[in-house]
Formats: sequence, C-alpha cells, structure tokens
Amino acid sequence: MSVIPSWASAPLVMHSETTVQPNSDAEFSAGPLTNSTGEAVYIYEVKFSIRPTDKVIASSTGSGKLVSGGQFAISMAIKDQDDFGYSLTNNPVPIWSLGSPHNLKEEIININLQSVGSADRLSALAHNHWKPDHPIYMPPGARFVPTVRSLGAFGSEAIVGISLVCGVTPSAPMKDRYKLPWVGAYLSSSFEYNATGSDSSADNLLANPHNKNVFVERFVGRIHCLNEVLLNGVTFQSLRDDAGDASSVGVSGNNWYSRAFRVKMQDSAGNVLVRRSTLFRNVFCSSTRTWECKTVLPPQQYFNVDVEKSVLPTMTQTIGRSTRAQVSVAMIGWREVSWRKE
Amino acid sequence: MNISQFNSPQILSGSVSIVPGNTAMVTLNEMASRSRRWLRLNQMNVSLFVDSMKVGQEIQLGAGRPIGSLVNIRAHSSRFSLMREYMRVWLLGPRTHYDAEFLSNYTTILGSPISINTNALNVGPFESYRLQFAKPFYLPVGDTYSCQLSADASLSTYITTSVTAEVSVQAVVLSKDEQKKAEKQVAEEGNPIPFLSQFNPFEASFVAGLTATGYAKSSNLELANPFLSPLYIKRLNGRQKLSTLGSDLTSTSANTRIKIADSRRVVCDLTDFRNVFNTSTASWLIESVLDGKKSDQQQDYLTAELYTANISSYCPEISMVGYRMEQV
Repeated sequence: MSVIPSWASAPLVMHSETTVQPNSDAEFSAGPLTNSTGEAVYIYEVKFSIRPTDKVIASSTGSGKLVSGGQFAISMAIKDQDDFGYSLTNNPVPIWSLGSPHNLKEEIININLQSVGSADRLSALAHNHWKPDHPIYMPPGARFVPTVRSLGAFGSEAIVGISLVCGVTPSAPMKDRYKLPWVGAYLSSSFEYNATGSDSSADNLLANPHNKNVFVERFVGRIHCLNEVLLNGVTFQSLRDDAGDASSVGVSGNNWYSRAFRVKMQDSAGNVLVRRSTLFRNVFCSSTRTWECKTVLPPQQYFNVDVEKSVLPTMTQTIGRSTRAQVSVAMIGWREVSWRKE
Repeated sequence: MNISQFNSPQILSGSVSIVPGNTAMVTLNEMASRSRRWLRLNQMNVSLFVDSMKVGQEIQLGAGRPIGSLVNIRAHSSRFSLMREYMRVWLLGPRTHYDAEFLSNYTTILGSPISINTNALNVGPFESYRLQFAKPFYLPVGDTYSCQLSADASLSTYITTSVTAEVSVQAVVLSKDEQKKAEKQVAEEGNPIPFLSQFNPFEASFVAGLTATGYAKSSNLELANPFLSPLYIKRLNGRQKLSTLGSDLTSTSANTRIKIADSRRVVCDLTDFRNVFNTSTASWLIESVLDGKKSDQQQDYLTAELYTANISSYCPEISMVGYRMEQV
C-alpha cells in the first residue's frame, strides 16, 4: 500500500544550507523551509548533503578531513505561524542514524583525486537521506526547523544542506490526528583502539517523554570509526562507518570494530530486549544497520543500551587504521499529534 | 499503562568457537526464550570472524573463499528442523550490501583485491550474513531454538586455531492479545516453519584442485519437499567460490551455468549463473511451491543442473529457502 495520499499533487523540494563550526550548533534560515504554498504539504523524504569548506589541499604533504553523516547530528521540529508545533527529535540524532543505508559506499565519502594544486583536489561530499515511515504533515504557513550540530570529530568548518522532498496537497482536508516522527539517539563514549570499556545510555535519550504512546519501528545501530587514511602522501582524518569507504584506497581495517563492540538492551518496564552481551552487528543487522523491532513505547518509558568494547587484534601501524570508535543507537518511531488548536 | 501489554522485541543469541573439521553447538540455554509468552521469530543473523591467520594465507581466505563459504549451520526448534542438512552460511540469504556482508581487511568494496597491508597482517576478516525467514514463525512457550555449526577441514589451511561464530535471532515477545491471535492462526492454518536445503556438488573437487570441466545434476533429495504438505519456496540463492582473487562478485558467469526444472521447465537451458542469480543480490525471488502431493512414494523436488568450466577455478552452489505450514 502506498503511503502517498491519493490526492497528492504537485511535487515540491525545499532546500536550505548552513555553515557549522566544530563542536557548535547552527540553525538554518527559516524562509526556504517554510510552507508558503498556502496549501497543506506532506514531506516524503529528507535529504542531507555535507561538505567541508577547506577542501583544497595545495601540496602533497598536507592533511585533510573527510566528511560523513556520523560527524553531524540533527534536531528537527515543525512550527506554525504562531510558533505552535512539535519536535521530531528527542535530542540531536547523527544524520546517518535516521534510516537504513541503501548503499554504504555511496553515502559516506566521494573523493575527487585531482592533480596536486588543483582547486578540486581531494574534495569530499557525504549524502544521507531519511524516508519517514509516514509522510510528515506541514500546515500552510508552517516551517521546518532543523538545527545541525558538529559533533567534534570533524575539526573544520562544514556546509550542511537539507532538502525536503514534498507533495503539495491543495484539497487535503485537515485531519484530527497526524502521524509525526519521533526519533531519539544515544551516542556512546569514544573508545581507543586498544582500550576496553563500557558505557550506558542515559534514561532520557531513547525515551518517550510524551503522554501518548510512541510506536517504535526500528533501531538503527552504527559504529563510528575515526580513521586516518593515507592517500598519495596526504594523511586524511575521517569518521566513517565500520564497513569501508568509497575511496578504494587505504582501506586496511574494515569491520575491525564490528568484532569489538557488544551490546545489551532493556526497557524501563523491566523487559529485557537483549539479555546476553551480543555482538553489536548481530543486533543491528550488518546489511541494514537496523533492527526492525516494531514495538510500542508507552508514555514516560525509555530504553537503555549498555555497550561493551573489547580489545582488538594487534595492528602495528596507525596510519590506515581507525584510532578510536564509538557506537550510536537511534530509535526511529512515530506518534500521533493534532494540529487543531480549538 | 505497562509496556508488557504490547509486543516486546527481543534478541536471542549465542556464540561458539569452531575448530576446522569439527562441529559446535550454540547452547540451548542461550538461544531459548525465557519468556512465558510465545515468540515470533523474524530473522537470524550470523557473524563470523577469525582473529588469527596463518602468515601469507589471509588473501587466499578473504578473496577466494569467504569464511561464510566454509562454515555451515543447521538450525532447528525443539520440534522442527529448519534445514535438511548443514547449510553454507553464505547460502542463507540474498546479499543486501556487498560491502556490509563481506568486507575483509584486504579487499576493496568491490571485491577486487589490494595488497595485504602490513597493518592487517595475520588478522582475518569479519563477515555477516542473515536469514530473513520467508514468513515469521512462532516459538510456543517451552520450545527452544538452537543451532549447530561446523567448519570445513580445509579452513585449517588458512587459520591458526578456530573461527568464532555468533548467531542471533531477532524475535518478538507476543503480547497477550497477539498470542491469542497467533494460537488461533497456528491451530487453523499452521505455523510457517522455515525449510532450507542446498546443492553444492563440486566442493571436494574444488578443494582438491581438480582441473576439469564439471557437470552435476541434483537428485530427488537435495532440493526436495520431504513433507506431505506444500513447501512454499521464497527464493533460490546462488553463490560461487573462486580459486583466484576476487571472490563471489567477480564476473565469471560465462564459466558457470545452471538449468532448473520441477515438474515443468523453470530455467530451460544452461544459462549464465549470474543471469539467474543476479550479481547484486546473488539471489532469485522465485515465489513458487512444491505441492508435496505427488504420491506417498515420490517427493516433489527441484532438479538443478550445474556446469562449471573448470572445477578448480569456479565452484557454484545453490540453496532453496522456503517454509511449510505445520500444525502444532
């Protein structure tokens, strides 16, 4: 069954960009993400693009950084003209944790290897997209309010773009209830390559703080690897998923951390979701990075994640291997809200 | 309001170390439900990894023979067997992302080899595979789910000690209402118990390095419906081991061919292997049925004919993934 309403009509894409500094938040200008059509709009897909501003490496001995959706987190809300509205996120969510990756190698890094000194040399771009389980309703005049946070692993200025793929629905009558996404995320501590350790999620992260049920569709689990890659004499820092990058070069430690991270999970009502300390990759299926759990999280309840990191096999060099890693677990769900204010 | 009113997701898991040539069992306790409610099982994930390789053998295992092609699994509930025999782990399901399923530390994302980086020396790959059950099936209270695993003796050529296998099942603890619905469904229609079988006739010759053209036809046993009720076939998976670098993804379809028939012709002539099981998924969503009603003496079965231009170079193998309805 299609999720697109039968009365959907004109397609519409709204786009905005912002520049974000390391360890900082940045807002997007409201105008481009405002529903100024005078009609109801449904958002079917949210797309992200990330690129560094210092892409030019002038010499072959410099260093640089490659971007990914794991280095930036997003908060989202929808507000109407009276500033009444709803949050879509409980806390900043790593951009690549919003949904199952369709193609890991395309979402992370695209390196353009040009000659030394070329203005285009070693430019990088990351793309991620999120298809909500139910189209997001935007009343006429409402605005989409995202805030992006640079999580610190990317130590330079970056430009983050957000595009809303929508449909304008002129004849759509206002309904009593709308299904709106609700997403929470936990980002673990960062662990050194040779270190053991553990970490647990706080109670307020994978939570339902509302007074109505949240319908949880899936968990998305990602392993964030801070990597050093040697490309033609240039050392690049990147934060990537644990399964390779698109460079086909310098890949020497793929899936290293998949064998090191284990996880347990339970909820606040005492249900044990993952009893035995289980390989992170076996909980969040390797090929999809997700656990399609389909459950209900009642009001004021939450999930807890306990992460364990073990020692990895010895590697003799540091260039080309991930020096440290952390995991993220996102809870992707939805709840019902009303836009009627009477 | 309490969360136990609703379905609750749960992961069952267990792990074992397997010495080449031996079998090991993922213990029943670890894979059993501790719930007093029925479980609905959706998917089984299997991860395999080796921490210590024999020097110089890393690339042989990683590129030509993924661990998933040398480790086997047999899963069963306490009442039913899910597999006719031990199954190659990489034959459990289709490939979703090549780079997510199998990416060793010495191949690129496209499977073409690069030189062994000294960083990765002596450390084996990590691989993940999954069996998405054709239909989620139920595990009633008191039933258990368990797995036995085995590793081919030829794996000892590459690794120093053992391979670690971790098996997990993504399940749902049913709510009271959902359990009532499930009990009714199982009583009236049956429980959709998975059933898998495989056909890999060239393994011994491949390991022995037999340089010859290979041809083999499955009997009425390998890809058969051994039940008196219909066997619904969801998909066929096709993989091929290679002696040279590049693994399963390398385009060698002209060198391996397949023909399939049941009571009708399915793949009429010997056809390029990768034209039947496409390159991106290594699978064919066939959605067919073996009705199981030929006679009391004769089983319904698929016949597969496999051809390889050189057994020592190309070793194709296939599996059949389906389910049958069992009254509990």
